[in-house]
Amino acid sequence: MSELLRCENLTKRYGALTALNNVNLTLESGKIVGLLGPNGSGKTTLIKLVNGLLQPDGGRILIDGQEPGVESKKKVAYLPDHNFLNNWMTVSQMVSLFAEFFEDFRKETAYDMLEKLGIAPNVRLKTLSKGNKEKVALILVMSRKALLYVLDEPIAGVDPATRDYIISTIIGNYNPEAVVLISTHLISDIESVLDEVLFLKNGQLVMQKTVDGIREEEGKSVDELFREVFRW
Amino acid sequence: MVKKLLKQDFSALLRTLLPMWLILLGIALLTRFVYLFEADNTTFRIIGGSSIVALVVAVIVCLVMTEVLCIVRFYRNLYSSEGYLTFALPATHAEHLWSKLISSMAVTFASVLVTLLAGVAATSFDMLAELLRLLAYFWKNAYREIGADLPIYVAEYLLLLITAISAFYLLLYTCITIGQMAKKNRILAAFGVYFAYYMIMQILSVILMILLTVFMATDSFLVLSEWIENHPWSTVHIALIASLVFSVVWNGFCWLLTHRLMKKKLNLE
Repeated sequence: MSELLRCENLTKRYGALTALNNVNLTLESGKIVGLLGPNGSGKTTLIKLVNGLLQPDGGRILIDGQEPGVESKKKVAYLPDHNFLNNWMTVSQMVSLFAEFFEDFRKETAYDMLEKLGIAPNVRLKTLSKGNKEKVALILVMSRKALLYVLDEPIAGVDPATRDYIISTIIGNYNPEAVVLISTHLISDIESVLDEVLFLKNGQLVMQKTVDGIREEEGKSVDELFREVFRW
Repeated sequence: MVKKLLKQDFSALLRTLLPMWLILLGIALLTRFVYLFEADNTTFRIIGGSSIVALVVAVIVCLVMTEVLCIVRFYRNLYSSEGYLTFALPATHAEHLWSKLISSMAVTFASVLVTLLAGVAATSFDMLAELLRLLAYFWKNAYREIGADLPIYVAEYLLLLITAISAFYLLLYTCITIGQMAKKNRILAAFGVYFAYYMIMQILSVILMILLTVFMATDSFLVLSEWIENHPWSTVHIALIASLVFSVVWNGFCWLLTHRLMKKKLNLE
């Protein structure tokens, strides 16, 4: 197992608000990691920093030994919590865009998954439902053979059936040598696939443990522990 | 990487611009067709007049829409939710900025070219012949006055034109990039930044006018006037070079500011 993500004293401020405060963590390959925390705990800020969409005010991030930049973006597959698709494009144009920019993109995998879902490649993205757009976005991201998959709220706002589809797509398609970092509130839905969890509270990392460790040491599920740690 | 980004930018811009250019050329050819049946009656005057009005409107729409589309593409692709993908691509911020600038300038020149083509098509080459005659006349007379340096003057003027167009886009990019830093009403904020820039420029112009008026009352101005009178073409040359230097510096300032803010203060929707 090799270290794929390292945050050292990572700090990010928005004016007077400290969104992340001296976060230190390391993630090793071959794991599905849950990034858990209530609203405003700093999950999306951490994800944006990993993807180079924000610059840290202190500390640093290393992705496979490199700071966020062109080289790290070749290794990170990012699913934001916003619809990032160019709505005027067709599904196949979007697939071509990914194939053109990301060398690790597996076009056939993408088309296979689209076919299974019954989404025609020549359909314009703007004509798809919200749920189908989210599925297309996930398919595009998971069709990459990346080293680090960063999925920001991939199962929020979708029906339970779609939720199951998304989870099975993640498990069925990720590169086994990679790290999958999933940010979510819906812990019970995703708990069974997680190897490790990170608890963020008020911009600080309050816990990093394996799911088996939580069950053995605490005698609780991740969901139960989460409710305990973040009780008002 | 810029090549790949340019491909995306051109395909996004051309999907609207190509039909627009075709419509403009179609209207131009229609106008020409109508004037083949030129007659001195009310029906012709109405149809002929309408086709010319349609052509003029199409030309204006084509030129204005080109700029609007370039600006919308810049904002939407970089600072709306599309930006999450754009900035996740393995490209530098500078490459994104170059791609937007080059594609905007290229389609602007293409739009001007299509407009000229429409003029040529509408007048059945009469306008083109007249234009070429005028250019030849200008070149002959200017060459007699300036001599062998004329191509240098023309090159300086063309360079100034190119830098002026890029300065136009870079200024708008800067305003949009500052505007996107606002928590909400980001487009309104971009307009606000542009308005503030406009006001500052107005104030600076007034100050410059006052300084010029003061300078005109000095002996140095008389010396300068005499020199200009004796060396008119050198004056043009110096003015062109000075404008070019100013334009390049301004372009550089806007580019660097936009690049820095894009990199350090990105605030996606």
